[in-house]
Amino acid sequence: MKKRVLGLLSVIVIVGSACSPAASQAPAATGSGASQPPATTAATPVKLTVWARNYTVENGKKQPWAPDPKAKLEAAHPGLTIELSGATSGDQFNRIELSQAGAVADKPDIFQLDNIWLGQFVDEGITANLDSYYANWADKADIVPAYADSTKVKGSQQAVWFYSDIRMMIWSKDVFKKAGLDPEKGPTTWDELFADAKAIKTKVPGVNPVEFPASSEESTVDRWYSYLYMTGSNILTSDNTKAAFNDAGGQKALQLYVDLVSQGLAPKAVLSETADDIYPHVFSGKTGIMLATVGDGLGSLPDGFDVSKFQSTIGAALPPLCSGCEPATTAGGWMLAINSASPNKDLAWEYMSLVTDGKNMVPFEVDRTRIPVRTSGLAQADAFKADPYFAQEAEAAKVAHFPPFIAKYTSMIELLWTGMQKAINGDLSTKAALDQAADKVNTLLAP
Amino acid sequence: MARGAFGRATPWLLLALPLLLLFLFLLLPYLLTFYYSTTGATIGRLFNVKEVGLKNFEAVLSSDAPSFVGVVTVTAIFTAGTLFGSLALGTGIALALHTVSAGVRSALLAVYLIPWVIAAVIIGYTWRLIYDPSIGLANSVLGAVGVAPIDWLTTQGIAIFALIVANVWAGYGIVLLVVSGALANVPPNIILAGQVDGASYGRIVRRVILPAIRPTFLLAALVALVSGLNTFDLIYAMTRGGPLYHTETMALEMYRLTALKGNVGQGAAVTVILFSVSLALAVAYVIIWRREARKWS
Repeated sequence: MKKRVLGLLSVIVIVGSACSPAASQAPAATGSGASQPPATTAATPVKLTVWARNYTVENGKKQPWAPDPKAKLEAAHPGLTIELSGATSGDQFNRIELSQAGAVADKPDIFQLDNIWLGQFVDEGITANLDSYYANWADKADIVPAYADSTKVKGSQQAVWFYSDIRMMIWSKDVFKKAGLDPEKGPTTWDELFADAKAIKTKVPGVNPVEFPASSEESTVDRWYSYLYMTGSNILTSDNTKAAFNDAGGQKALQLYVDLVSQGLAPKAVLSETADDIYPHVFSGKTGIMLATVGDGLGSLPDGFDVSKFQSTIGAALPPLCSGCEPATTAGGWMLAINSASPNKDLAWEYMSLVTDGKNMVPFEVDRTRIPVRTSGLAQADAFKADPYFAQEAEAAKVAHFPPFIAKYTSMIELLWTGMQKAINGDLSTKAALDQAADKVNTLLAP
Repeated sequence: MARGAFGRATPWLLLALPLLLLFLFLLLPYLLTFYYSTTGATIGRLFNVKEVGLKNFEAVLSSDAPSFVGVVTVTAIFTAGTLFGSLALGTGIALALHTVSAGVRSALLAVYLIPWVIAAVIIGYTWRLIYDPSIGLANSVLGAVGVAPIDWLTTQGIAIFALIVANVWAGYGIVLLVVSGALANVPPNIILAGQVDGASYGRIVRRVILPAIRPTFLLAALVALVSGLNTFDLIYAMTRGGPLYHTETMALEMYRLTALKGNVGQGAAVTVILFSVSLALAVAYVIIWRREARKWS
C-alpha cells in the first residue's frame, strides 16, 4: 500500500514539476542566456537567436535570412548555429517586451522591430548601441539618405534598416473618367484636389470624392503626417520633448481634412474608417481619391487584379502639395537591432550586415513588394517591374519622413487622433483641437 | 490504519493536480491582477515594481479621455441592450421552435446556433463590413427601399445600437439553448389545461410557460448580462472604442490601458472594477435563485 501511495505521490510531483513555469521556460541546451560565454573562438558552440517577423522566415518563400547569409556565417564560424523564429507584429512586440521584463527566459540576439517601437526599446535599454559598428561599416553609404539618420536615437545608432513602406495617394481611374478628369493624372496640389473632388461630386453621384482614415487607430495619424511634414511642421520639437503639431503648419494640414468633410467632399464616416476600410471603396469605384495609403509596393492587390489591371484601374502618386510646401511623405517599416544583453554582438552584427546587404534583400523585397532602403536597391527598377508603381515609390522614398522615436509614442498618438477627430467632427476648431491635444502630449512627455 | 489514512488522503491526492492547475491558471492571475492594480507596473517592467496604493484607481476614475462616467454609461447601455436583446431573440426563437415537431426543432436549433459558435472577432469584422457606409449590406438594403445611407459607426447613439445588434446576433444562442432545454421540461399537461380553458398562445406563454421556466430564465439572463459586460473582441473589431471614445466599454478600456499603452497597473485597476461588478451580479443571481428555489421547493 505504501508503494502505491509513494507511486501516486511521485506521479503528482512529476506532473506538477512539468507544469511549473520554471520547467516550461527552461532554455534549450545551447541557449543564448547571459551566462553563456562570448563567441571568441570559431570552434566554440554558439547559438545565435533571431526573432523575426513571421513572413520573413516563411518556408517556400524568399527569405532574407537564408539560405545564403545563414550558410555563409555558419561556414565562417564552425560551431555556430542560427535559430530563426517568426511572430506576428503584436506577438513580436510582446515577446521582446516580455523578454526584457524577465517574464520569458529566452532572449534574442537579433530582433526585428517596427520603426515606431525603436524609441521605447532604446528607453528600456533593450537595444545595443551600434555606433562602433556603424563607424567601420562600408555599406552605410548605401542607405537612402532620407533614412540614414532615422535609426539614431539621442545621437546614437541603435538599429539597421531592413525594408520600408511609403505613404502614397491613390485614385480610381474609372471614377476620374466618369467625372471627365484625366485618369492618368491625379491631383498634384491641394487646389487641384478640391477641383477634382468637386468634379467627382457633381458628375458621379453616389461616389465619395475623397476619403482618408480618421478612426481611433494608428493609420489616422500615420497617413496625416505627410500633410503635416509638407508644411514644414513636425510632430514634436527637435529634442522630442514637446508637441509641435499644433503650429500653423499643423493647423493647415488638419484644416485640409476638416474642409474636405465640411464641404461634403469626404464623408463624415471617415471617423469610423481605417485605411483598410477605404481600399475596397477605391478598388470598387465607390471612392475617387484616397489621400494616403501605404505604398508597400501597392502589392496587396485585391482578388481579380493583376498588375496590368491594377495599373489600368488605380493611379498612384506622391500626396498632393499645398501652396508653398515641399514634397514630403511618411515612411515606416522594419529595422533590425541587437539585444543589449546579447553575448554575441559581433556575430549578430556580422549576420545583420550579410542579411541587410542590398543584393541579398532585393529578391525578398521583390517577392514581398517591399520598398528597399538601399540606394542600390531603389536603382533596380527592372527587378521591381511587378510593382505597378515602383517608380513613384522610389521617388517618394527620397522625401520620406519618420515619426519620432520616443518611448511614449503609442500613448501620444491616441491623444493626437482624438484631437483630430474633435476637429473633423466639428466639436472644436482645428486650432483648439490641436492645442488641446498638444497640452496633453506635453503633460505625457514631461519628465 | 494505513488503509484508513490512505482512504482519507486519496481524494486530496486525486484533487492535487486539478487544484494546482486551478491555482496556476485561475487563482494566481486573479491575485496578480489585484496586486498589479496597486503598483506602477508597465508591460516592460513586471517585477520589482513600485507600490502606488490606490493611485491607479484614482487615475482611472478621474480620467477625462475618456471619462470614466462615459465609459460606464456606454458599458451599461451596451450590456442592457445585449441582455434584453438576447433574451427577447433567444426566448422568441425557442418558443417558436417549441411549436414544431422534435425532429424539425433539432435541425432548426442547430442552424440558429451557428452564430454562437463563430468567433466573436469574425462576427465583428463581418458586421463591420455590413455597416460599411459605401459598400455595406445595411445601406444597400436601406437604399433599395429609398432610405438615405446611414453612417452606422460614426455617431454615438447609432454606433452603440449597431454594436448591440451585432452582439445580440452573436450571443442569443446561449439563451436559445438554455431556454429550449427548459421548455422541453415544461409539463405538457399545464399547457394543455390552458388550451382547454381557451387561453391564447400568447397568454399561455405569459401565464404558464415563462413562470414555469423562471429559474432557468434567470440563469440565461445572468449569462447574457455577464457576456454583455465583458464583450471585448466584437467591439474592438468593429470600432476600437471610437470615434472619440464613443463606444469605449470597460473591457476595451482594460485592453487599451494594458496592451496599447502598456500601463499594466491602470489596466489591472479597470479589471478589478469589472471583476467586482461581475462578482456582484453573480452574487445577486445566487440570492435571487435561492429565493426562487425556495418558492418551488
